Amino acid sequence: MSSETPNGGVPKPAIPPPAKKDPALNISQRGDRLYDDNGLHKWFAISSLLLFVFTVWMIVDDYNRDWRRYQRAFTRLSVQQTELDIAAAEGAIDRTAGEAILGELAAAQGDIDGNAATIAEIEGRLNALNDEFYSTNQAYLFARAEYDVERYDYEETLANDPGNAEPLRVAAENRLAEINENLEAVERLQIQIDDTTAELEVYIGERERLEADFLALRAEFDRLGGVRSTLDPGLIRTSIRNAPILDFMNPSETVNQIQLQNLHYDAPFLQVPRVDRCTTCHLGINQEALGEWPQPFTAHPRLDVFVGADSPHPMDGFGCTTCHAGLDRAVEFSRAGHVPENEEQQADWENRFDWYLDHFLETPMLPMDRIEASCLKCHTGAGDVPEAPALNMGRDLIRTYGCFGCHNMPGYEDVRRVGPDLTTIGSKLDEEWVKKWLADPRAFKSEARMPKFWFNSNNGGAEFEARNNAEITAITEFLFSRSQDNPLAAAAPAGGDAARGQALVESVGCLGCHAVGPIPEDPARTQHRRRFGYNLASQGSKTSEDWLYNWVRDPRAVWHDTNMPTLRLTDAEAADVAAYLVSLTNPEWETEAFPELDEAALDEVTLEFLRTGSTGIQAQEALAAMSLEEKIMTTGEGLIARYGCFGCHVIEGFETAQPIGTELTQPGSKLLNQFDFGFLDIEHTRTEWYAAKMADPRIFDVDRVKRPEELLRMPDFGFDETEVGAIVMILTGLVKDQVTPDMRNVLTADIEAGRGLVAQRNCRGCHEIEGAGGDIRSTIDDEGLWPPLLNTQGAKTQPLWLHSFLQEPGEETLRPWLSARMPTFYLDQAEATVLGKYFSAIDDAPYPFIDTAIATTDESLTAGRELFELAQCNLCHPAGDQIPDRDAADLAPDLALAAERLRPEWVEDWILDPQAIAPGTRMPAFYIDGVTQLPDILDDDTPRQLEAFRDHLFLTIGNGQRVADN
Amino acid sequence: MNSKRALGLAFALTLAAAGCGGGGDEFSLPDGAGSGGAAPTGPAYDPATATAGISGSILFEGDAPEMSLIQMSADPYCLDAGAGTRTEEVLVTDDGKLRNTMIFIRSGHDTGLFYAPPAEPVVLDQQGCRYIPHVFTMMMNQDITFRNSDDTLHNIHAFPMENMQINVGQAVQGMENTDSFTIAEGPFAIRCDVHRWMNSFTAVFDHPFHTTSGDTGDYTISVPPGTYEVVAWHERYGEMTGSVTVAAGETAELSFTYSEPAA
Repeated sequence: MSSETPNGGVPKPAIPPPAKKDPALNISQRGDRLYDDNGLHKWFAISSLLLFVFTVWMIVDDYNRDWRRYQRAFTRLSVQQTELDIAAAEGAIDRTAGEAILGELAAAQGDIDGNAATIAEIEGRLNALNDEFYSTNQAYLFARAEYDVERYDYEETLANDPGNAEPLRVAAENRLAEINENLEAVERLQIQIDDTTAELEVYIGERERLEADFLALRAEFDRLGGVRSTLDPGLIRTSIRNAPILDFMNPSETVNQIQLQNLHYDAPFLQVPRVDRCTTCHLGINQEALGEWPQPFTAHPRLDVFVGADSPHPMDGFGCTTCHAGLDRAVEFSRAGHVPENEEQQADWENRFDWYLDHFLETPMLPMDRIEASCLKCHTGAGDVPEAPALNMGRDLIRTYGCFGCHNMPGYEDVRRVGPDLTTIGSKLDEEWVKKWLADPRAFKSEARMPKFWFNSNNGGAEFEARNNAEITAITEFLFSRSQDNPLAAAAPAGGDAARGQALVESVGCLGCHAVGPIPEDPARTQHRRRFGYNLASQGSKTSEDWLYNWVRDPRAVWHDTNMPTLRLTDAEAADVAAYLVSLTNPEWETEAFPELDEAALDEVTLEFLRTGSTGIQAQEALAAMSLEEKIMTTGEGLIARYGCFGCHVIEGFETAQPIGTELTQPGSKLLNQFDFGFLDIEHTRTEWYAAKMADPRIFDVDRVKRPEELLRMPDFGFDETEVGAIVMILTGLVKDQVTPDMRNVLTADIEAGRGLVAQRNCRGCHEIEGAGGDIRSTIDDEGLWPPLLNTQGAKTQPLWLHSFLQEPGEETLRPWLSARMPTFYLDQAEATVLGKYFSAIDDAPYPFIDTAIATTDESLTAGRELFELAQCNLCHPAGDQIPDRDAADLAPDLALAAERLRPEWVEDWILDPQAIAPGTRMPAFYIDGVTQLPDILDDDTPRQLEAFRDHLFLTIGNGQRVADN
Repeated sequence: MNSKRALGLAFALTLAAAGCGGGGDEFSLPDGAGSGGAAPTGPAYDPATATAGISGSILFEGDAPEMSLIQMSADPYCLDAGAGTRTEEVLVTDDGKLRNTMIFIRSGHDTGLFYAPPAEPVVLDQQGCRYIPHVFTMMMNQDITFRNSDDTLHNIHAFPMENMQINVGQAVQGMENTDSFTIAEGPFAIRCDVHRWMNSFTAVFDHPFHTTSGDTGDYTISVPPGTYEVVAWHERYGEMTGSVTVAAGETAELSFTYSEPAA
């Protein structure tokens, strides 16, 4: 603003009114301005017009964004669906009943009309009574208010001026009398009104009842009508609600979002709460009925597990991008990070949605075959995640191959090194075998788990041969020079029979964790858990019968930290098994000899170690001064440190050495520029890098020029494509995204700990638990000999019984006629407790104190005996010493143990519907849809029959406790 | 003046755009949205169109293996009621034909039609501690009645791959239960877990063109004229396939020959 005021300063010169005709006064032609007014007007007009056009365009465009189109289409489909439902509901109306009601209604109306005078008279009385009730009630309420005032006046005066209080007390008491009178009048009137209403009811009640019945008949139809008008209130109303500017109030088209305070989106330098807007377009995602609707409206295919309000991962708590990844707050197709499953879909998307891959988005959505990776954000333990087979396979592989030996990985901090203890290597193996084994483990047995360090893609050329052999020799001789004696308890007794041993291995349960040679495919199930223990092929070419005998007889006596449980073999059985195992040989392997040591090559390697910390000349001098023995020891020790052998094996002198591999705590969030793709021609993504690395860990040395000690060191595990995929899933799933602990609390500690132990002991090698496992079943043709499913174990067995069974499974055998047996895992109290709590927690069963006392009657006990006889339970179930004359596979568990083993309520559930608890069980159902097939006992009453079964089982067959009759 | 009208026009335009833009026929409800999705597909098949036939015999070459006596000592009732019963795996008639073989059409029939299941149930009887019949065929959604004619406990345990397993105990003589299979599949076994020697085989079809060689070793299937892939299935010797073309009013001959494979 100018400082000049209208009254002060320099007065404005008066401008004479312009003479329009005078060209000198025509502003546009005067030439004393730097711009042309007319031209400016034109430009102003044009730009205004353009601004207007673009504004309109902008609004039109904004109001036609994809998500709005989807929402409109969804509304349209919903209306169509509702109309179909309305038609169905209309058809479903019971017209006969409706007509009948209408007929009765007409008759009732006729009665009413006939009694019109009476009804009018009663209604008149009722109205008069209502009027009187109102005024009386009013007087009563006023009197009460007055009384409150008067009582307070009296109280106050009594306290401050007692002399004048008496009149006030009298007034208040009079008022109280008045209140009581009024109340009585009100109550009397209420009674009269009730009586008169009942009198009226006699005449008109029938009509009201019929009207309500009629509305009830068409209730669904009317409800759907209401739904329809809510969905589609008409074009005009919808248009006004969603019109620009007006839509700030209550639009029907709106961006839906789920805010997740506890889950974060990782932006650079800050974490912001996730705001998932996916449901803006995926409008039917949580509506089960919309399973068949077109995308993007299709319901989530697994609402029982995800999204559904009752599922473990409800939408409001977990959102969508937590698992699917993608950009949480985007509402455009490509920006949201959709990723096609295949090229066909990609072409389709490019055609329909102009799809492109947003290269700036760090977390595009995961394709469906990799989505399980997201489970790791919350399921951080080492146990299996239900219904995530590929992820679990990856975890099993990591546990089996011991990746955490060299790489720090979350969840495996306390897991034992996977390889055998090498401090007593000399007691089990000979040097020649070890050298040949190191050179190529899979030449010894195709299923070897030991990875290959030498003769790989970056050190396999002829120029490496002498060097590789020298390195292998040095390591082997170093290990044997440090080996301590580990005396065996006993020599294998003579008379071990290989054929009997083979039958034992194939029947006692060894094959739950072990296989002999390659595992044949079984379309019915995966068998990767049978790789948990070492493959038994070629054992005879490796170690002695004495060693094997001691090992299978008592693994812990040979190696205290082994994972191998004992199957409680007798000495004779152990001798048979040892005879069998030692008969498994690899003749081709035995004929080959390991090459002699090339000292020049050894010198070259030794020099590499001597050079560290000294000059080249000093190193040469040191080397010249060393004996061959010294060179081998120096080199062997150095190589063990270089290759990190101690990551998997206990080696004397390396007990506390730090793992040599790259840390893998968040490999899924490692930045792309931190990967060395070398000269490999692959797509530059994390997934591709990890996949290439897993398939051939030395692949990135291709075309690189390096000194031998600089070469990549990760050994080759020989993973196939499926295994590579499973491991890559884990690696990409370990991301930096922080999930607050309360999001993980849903997984109770009991369940996580149990799943961890189940994985650690490979329980699933034999048993199906939480719907997965039982790999050994592929080796057993007769399903009667399968190990039990443990799907409802927590609800089934008593905590105390389970606890002692887990610790001492040999004490009391349920099915002693089976050759397969539950191994003794040497579980300590804490571990047995972990499992007990786990089984109870997944079944939501009480733990550890339960009441097994049974309240019964003598009638029930008698009926129970009759039911047992009728159902002929003893045809299959032994009870103590009475064992039916049948094949072992056809016998059922011993009922004499039931009372101390089973939970009483489970027995009833089991008898009611065995297939529901154990699909495929041989236990027949005696109740079909709850109706008994065992007639004439306890009035065919199913619940009472089930109780009678239970009572007989627990109190007559077993020595359960009966609740004392009062 | 003008600008006011223009603003009004713009408003109207955007209204129109917001109100009726998009939509079209890009999305539509899935088929069967109105009927709960369980409608039968296609028009109904008319049995009167089956004017042609396929018939033949299941021949057996060489000596039939001897069937062993069944050891029924697990149940005293069976020991008595089923005395002398032999395994029914390979039964050859005196004129060298193989009994208890399933014959069915795998392809060639009109899959667009809806084939209604027969109203009468198939009956699987348990008599003398064996299943009667030993081999039978049925249609999906056709009722199957299990009957226990024995005075001992039997259970009927069906082992299908696609359908739900059935395992029903029948403790009382004369008891009957009815069930059905809802998915076409087969063949699969039905066994009694109480008496492991008891077995029966069936297959569930989504069409009516199937039968067994029964007791005679011969079979006949009525079909509409056409070219068919015909399959024979035997519990021990497995599957054989053949192809046949029939015209209206004719019956084509198609026989299969099984033999005991060399050990």
